[in-house]
Amino acid sequence: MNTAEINKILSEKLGKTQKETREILEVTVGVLANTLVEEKSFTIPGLGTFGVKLRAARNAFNPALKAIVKLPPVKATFFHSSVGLKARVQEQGQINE
Amino acid sequence: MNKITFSELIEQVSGATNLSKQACHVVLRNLAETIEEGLVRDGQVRLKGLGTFRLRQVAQRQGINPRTGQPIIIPGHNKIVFHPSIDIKNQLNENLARIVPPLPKATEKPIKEMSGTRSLRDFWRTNKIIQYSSGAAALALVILIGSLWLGGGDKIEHDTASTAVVAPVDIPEPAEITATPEPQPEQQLVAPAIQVDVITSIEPPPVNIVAEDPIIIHAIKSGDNLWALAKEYYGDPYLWPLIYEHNKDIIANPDMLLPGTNVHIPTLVGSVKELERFDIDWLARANALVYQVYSQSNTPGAQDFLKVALKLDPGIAEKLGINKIPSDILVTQARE
Repeated sequence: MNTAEINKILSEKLGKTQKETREILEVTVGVLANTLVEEKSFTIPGLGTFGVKLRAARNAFNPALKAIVKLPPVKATFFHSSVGLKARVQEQGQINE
Repeated sequence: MNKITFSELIEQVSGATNLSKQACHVVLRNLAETIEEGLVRDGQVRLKGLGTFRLRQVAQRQGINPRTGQPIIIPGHNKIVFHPSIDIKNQLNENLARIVPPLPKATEKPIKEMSGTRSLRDFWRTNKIIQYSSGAAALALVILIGSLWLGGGDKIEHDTASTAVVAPVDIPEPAEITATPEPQPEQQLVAPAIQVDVITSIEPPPVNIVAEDPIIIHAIKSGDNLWALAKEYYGDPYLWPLIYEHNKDIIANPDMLLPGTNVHIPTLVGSVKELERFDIDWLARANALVYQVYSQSNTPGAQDFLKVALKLDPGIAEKLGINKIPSDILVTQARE
């Protein structure tokens, strides 16, 4: 499912035109993204928790080179799905890779 | 880790969308529902600006109950993974940016990235989402200036180096004519002759000097390695044997750089993407040298460097007098 499909379904649920919904969706997603960029975590009920954590610098082994390389620290996002969503996805979820 | 509550999030959304809090609540709830529907239907949801949600199948595995220590079977299940959009990723790591390499080619890249993230900010601004805190913009500016300063500092070094070469040639002319007419008539005769040469060719030499003999010096800090240096200065870590070959008198062990030593970073004749014949021969020599050093110290993987060297220059073994080519390399060569 992509953004356009989300927009279509969302507009039906909200009872608004797709154009109106697209603006709301873009702005809402922008707020969510901005909150993540500010490294604040938040929870959306029914979906899960989003956040950012720092992965420390470490040494890793490069098998092609057979040498130890230094990896720099990285800020990575994490997502923990809510328990309910996880359970519902178990029953019905299909995986298309 | 800062955490904001759902009501705070709702406030922000309502401020940005000019909708009531109640309406924003409905929007977010429906958005969550829609994402769930998408996951159930397709197993994948792409939301532009935020990222991708995906279902990943986790196989059944053996685990241990941490409380009792009993082995238990963790059943296979679907896990929801979230990958943030590249813009979020880049902005998060903007402040963790690496040291900007002094080569002009490499300095172009970070500036491009900056302009990319700035356009994203503009996009958000035009949508009235965020009044982006001027602090973040100022920080980006500081990084930009810092990177320019770093790059510029090295350029100044180059410039002073090239002017230093040119200056002694320029200055003697008036100095010798005005100040030293009597004691050194022979030198006076010689000096103008040189100057004529120099004046005719005064414009190309500084360029050549900069290109052929750049004075990029890297002071080794604790934690530096040749791999990282090659990546920093050339953009290709696999060129590290070049730095080692150039500094073989200073560096005893390529795997252990001593902090405090000054390493000269040589410049390529061609570019990293299009190596000239000279560079290729040089790289072959450097790789062969690494092979010799590594095979003396019995470092595993030494043969890989000989393979690379032979690939770049099949005659390198005779040139350097390496007679013992391990048999497996000969076999692979024969196959090719």
